[in-house]
Parts: sequence; structure tokens; C-alpha cells
Amino acid sequence: MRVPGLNIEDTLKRCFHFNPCIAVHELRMRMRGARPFVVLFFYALLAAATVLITLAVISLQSSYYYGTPDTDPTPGRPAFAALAFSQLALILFVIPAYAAGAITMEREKHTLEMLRGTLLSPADVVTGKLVVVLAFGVLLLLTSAPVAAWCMMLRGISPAEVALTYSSLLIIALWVATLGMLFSVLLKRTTAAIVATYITVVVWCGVPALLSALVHNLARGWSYVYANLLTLSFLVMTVGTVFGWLVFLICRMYAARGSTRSATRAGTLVSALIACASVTLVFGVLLVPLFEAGLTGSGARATLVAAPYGGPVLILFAEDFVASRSRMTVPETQLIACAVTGGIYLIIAIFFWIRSIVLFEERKWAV
Amino acid sequence: MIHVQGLTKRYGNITAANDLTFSVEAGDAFGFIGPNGAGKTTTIRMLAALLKPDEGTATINGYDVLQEPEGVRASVGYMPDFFGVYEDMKVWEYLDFFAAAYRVAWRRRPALIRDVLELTDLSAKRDTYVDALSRGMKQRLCLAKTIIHDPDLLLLDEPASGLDPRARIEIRELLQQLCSMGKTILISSHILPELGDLCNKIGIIEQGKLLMVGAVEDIWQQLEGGTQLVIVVHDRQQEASDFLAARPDIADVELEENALHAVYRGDPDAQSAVLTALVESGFRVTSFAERETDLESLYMRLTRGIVS
Ligand SMILES: Nc1ncnc2c1ncn2[C@@H]1O[C@H](COP(=O)(O)OP(=O)(O)O)[C@@H](O)[C@H]1O
Ligand SMILES: [Mg+2]
Repeated sequence: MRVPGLNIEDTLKRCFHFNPCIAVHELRMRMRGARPFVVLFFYALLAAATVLITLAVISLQSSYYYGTPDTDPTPGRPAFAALAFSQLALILFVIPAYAAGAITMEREKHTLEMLRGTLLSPADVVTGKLVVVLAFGVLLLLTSAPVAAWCMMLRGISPAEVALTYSSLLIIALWVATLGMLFSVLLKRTTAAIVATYITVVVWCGVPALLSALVHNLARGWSYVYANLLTLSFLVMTVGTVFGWLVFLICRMYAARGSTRSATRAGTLVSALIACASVTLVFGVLLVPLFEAGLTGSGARATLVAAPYGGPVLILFAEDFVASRSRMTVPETQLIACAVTGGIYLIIAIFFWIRSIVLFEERKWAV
Repeated sequence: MIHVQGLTKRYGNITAANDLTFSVEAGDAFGFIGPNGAGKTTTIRMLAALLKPDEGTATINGYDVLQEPEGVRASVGYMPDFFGVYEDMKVWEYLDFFAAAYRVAWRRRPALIRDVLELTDLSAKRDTYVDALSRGMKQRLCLAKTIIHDPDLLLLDEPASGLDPRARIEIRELLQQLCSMGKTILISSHILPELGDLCNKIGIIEQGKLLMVGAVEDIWQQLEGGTQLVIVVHDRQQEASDFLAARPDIADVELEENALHAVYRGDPDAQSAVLTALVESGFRVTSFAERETDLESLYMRLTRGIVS
């Protein structure tokens, strides 16, 4: 028996005008049978193996240098860092495969037309699919939670750090899910959408990493003020360029497919420019306090904060970045770094999400 | 129910639908006939508010397809020619999904699904996986999905294509039942006999153009300029033929296997005068009937000029 008014589905429909049937049915289908549990089992096994291998390496190094295997009093910290990096890699690898097929798969199976024939709105379809993908991401993260707890027992990592890392991972999962969704709406084939998502992720990760290395080397011998100014400007340009490149590419593909009227093209170009400018601004404004506050010790390497791979986990190495003269403590710096990366990727994810809905709506006449 | 005015859709330099104008009243069963590539699917998708017309207007149940697609979707059940099914989904889940997508309240769905399954004779398959069903069953399931939100109008795009004769008959019976439940049906086909018993009105489309629309009998009337009569006399066939040919209200008498095929061009109410005249002249008339309207020959006649 369900109490009237407490039914989730009816409440969502009535209060938020959101029809959750896609999420409900897809979750039911995906969680059927033994397969999801086998996947989760191996995922947990992988997470545990990462930690075990890290611990083994630490004690081997310790035995080699000091003759005794347990000189590190806080082995939980490197173990958790390894876990977080592997989680991040898995999220960036697994989520696109799910998200990028969300709409293209319907198109390929000839079910999209029937879906469009129903009273489901574009927001219902896109958001419903995103909820499913994210639910899967959350499930993966939860599966690794016991391993994270084990790391905490090994000492060296605080619950707050674990919580910050996990929330960053969740936001990155949301970001990559919306990115995959965007390509799923834009492109016709699932494989094309998955490949496009992977390429974008790699470029997005690679450019900040490259620049970070470059600036780090350049900055040696210079005063850190110059190094940081350089880093900051590079960072702003990098992210602005990567993002602008992506948005422009998407807009051009969209314009080429749809109407060829010059008005549409001009419109997409203007919207691309505005999008780039605003994201660059957001990045610049948000990152200034971060650099001033703490990450100045090795500011050049902090460029990595902008990369989806590395950025969310960088807080675990905040000690290395915090300058000796900084007025801020390590936990404060971690909080700010987390807020900045999380905020940026959240904003971009929301942008992608809304864009997916708009594009799905605009293409409703062309299945 | 459906009012279409000057509906046009172009793909490059192909005109898939060219200036279509027709209307379908509530309760009609409208057959949309044409060979492959004639523009049936294009037209139906425009009516289902899934494809944007280049020109012209279409209103469904009072809703304009361009302005009020929501209203159109709520009043239309659309069955596409190619439809996919989701793997890993059971029959009842499939129907539950579409019922939810059409905003049928959660409480009403189980009873609704039971009724629809019963109507389409799939009750025994309630817990079967959709992709394990036979093609005929899938087609019936898709029909069940089409009527799940109780639409007034069904747009069915070749619902019987690719089915074996038995499944085809089952679908036809189902459609007849839906007709008798008061649904308006627009059904397309490139196979004529499929529509024969079902439709009271047909539209013939070829190369995007609507060649003719109307009640099946009316089309015959227009085509021949009169009513087709089939008269069987016991003997003296040739004499009877000459006798009929001499009458001013009869045109085109042909003698085929003892039966006389004649076209009556006079006042429809005075048709029996021909019989009276025959009998009074001493011919032993064993049968005097209007010819059964036969879609196939109608269609062949209509498209003769265009194809060749
Ligand atoms: N998406 C499309 N792009 C280009 N041409 C199309 C498209 N859809 C249909 N056509 C063309 O429009 C014509 C009518 O197609 P269709 O409506 O599918 O015919 P039918 O359903 O009667 O077989 C065909 O010549 C077909 O090639
Ligand atoms: Mg067709």
C-alpha cells in the first residue's frame, strides 16, 4: 500500500513536471539478473587490488631503503591516493560508454521515434537517461567505499579528505555523463559518440597536463610570482581554448546538419563565443583566490587542477603545493581547491545538460 | 478528426508528399494505399507531429500539428512501420513504460495493461521478454502500446507487413474490433486486400500525389461514371447483351463467362428499371447485382496511367 501523495512518481510529475518513467524502467532493466552484481564484484576486487599493490610497493621500498618493511606511519594516504586515481580513471572510462549510447542506441534500435511520439518532453528523456547513468556511477563509487574505509584505518587520511575526494569524483562523473549525453544527442551512431567523448576527455586532460609540465620547467629559476602569473594566464587560455574548440566544433556540426541559413550560423557562432568567454571568466575569477591562498608553493603544477583526470585527486597532495609563507592551512586549501574544481565542472556539466535538452528539442523534427 | 490542407514535404528535389488535401471523420477507417516510396510514411509522420511539413496545415482532433504537438500526441496512437523493442524488457513492463510515458496515473496502469493484453490476446505472455515474442505477437504488442493511452485516432503504418497470413488475419480482426469500439483509424498499406474489408474510405497516393480520396463505392462511381452491374441470364446471353447495349442508360456491356458486366449511368434510384425491362422482355434473369467493390482492380485502373 502506498499512501496517497507519497508516491514518488506522481509527486515528481505533479511538483517538478518531470516524468521519471525512463529512469524507472531503465534501472529495472539494467539491474536485472546476475550481470550487474558480477560487474560490481569485480569492481570492488579491482579497488582492493589497487590498495594492496600500493601497500606492497610501499613496504618493498621501505625494506629496500631502511631494511624494514613498515617505516611509513601513514600508509593509508598513498593507498587512498592510488584508489582515488584508479576510481577517476574508471569513471572517465566507463561512464562515456554508458552515456554516449543513451540516445544513439534508441535511434539505432528504432525506438526513438516511438519515444518522441509519447508525451515525454525532451527534458524527461535527457534527464531520465542522465539519472540512470549517474545512478550507475554512484553505485560504482559506493562499491569502493569499503576499500576507502580500509585506507582510513591504515591512518594518514581523514574522513573529510575522503568525503571531499568522493564528492569531486561524483562531480566528474556528472561532467563526463553530460558530455557523453551531448554527443549522444548530436551524433547519429553510438560508436561515433563514444569516440568523440573519449577524444574530448583526453584532450581536456592532456592540454593542462602538457602546459603544467612546460610551465613547471620554465619557472625554475624565476621568482614564483612570475611563474604564477604565467601559470594563471596559461591556465585561463588553455581551458578557454579547449572549451571554445569543443563548443565551436559542436555548433558547427549542428549548423551543418540543420538549416544552412547564415542567420543560424551567425547565431551558433555568437553563442559559442559567449560560452567561451563566460567559462574563461569563471575560471579566471575562481582561480585567483586559490592561487593567492595556498597553492602558490608549486603553482605551476597546480595547473593540473583544471584537468578532469588528476584535478579532483590533487587535493590529496595539497601539502606539496602550499607555500611556506601561505596564510592558509592545508585543509583550507583543500576545501578551496575542491570547491573550485567541483564548481567549474558542475557549471560545465549543467551547461552540457541544458544544451543536450535544447538540442534534443531542436532536432525533434529530424529523427 | 483529421483535416489536411495542402500538406507538402520535400526531401531535396524529391517531393515525398505533394499538396495533400483530405479529411477523415470520426469513426472512419481510412485506408492509405500506395506502392513503396509513395509517401505514406512521410504523411503519417507529419500527422503524428513527428515531421515538420514544408507547406500546408494538418489538424488532428482540433489540434494543429505544428502549433500544438502535445495535443496531437495525446489524441493519436502512432504505430511506426519499423519499430524496435527494448531488450531485457518484459511485456507488461513495456506497456507500463509507455503508459507512464503517456502520463497514465500509476494507480490505473495495472488494470489498463490487463485490459489491453486481453484485447490483443497476449494475456498469457504478460511476463515474457519482449524480444522472445514472434513477429506477429510483437506487432500485436506494438498495437497494444499504441492504444494504451486510449487515443481517439490510430495512425498505423503498414501494421501487417511481413506477417504470415494467419497473423495478418489476427491483426485485421483486432483492427475491426477497434473500429467497432469507435476508434478512428488511418491505416497505410501497399498491399490492397489487407484494407478491403476494413476501410470505408480510401486515399490512393502515388509519387507523393493523392490520386483519389473518398468512399470506396464513390471512387468506383467516379472512375466508371456509373455503377457496375453484374447480370446473369440463364440463356440468350448475346441477345441480352445487345438488348442492354441498346438502352441509353447503359454503357459498356461485356459478356464474360455467362455474366454480363454493364455500367449503369442513369439515376441510381431507378436502377431496378433495367431489371424490370429485362424481365418484361422475357430474359430469364438469375442474378442482378452491383459488382463487389474490388480494391485491387480499382487500384490497377487508377495507377495505370501513371506507372506506364
Ligand atoms: N529522411 C529522408 N530523406 C530523404 N528522402 C526521404 C526520407 N524519407 C523518405 N524519403 C523519400 O520520400 C519518398 C517517400 O517515402 P515514404 O514516405 O517512406 O514512402 P512509403 O512509406 O509510402 O513507402 C521516397 O522516395 C523516399 O526515398
Ligand atoms: Mg513506409
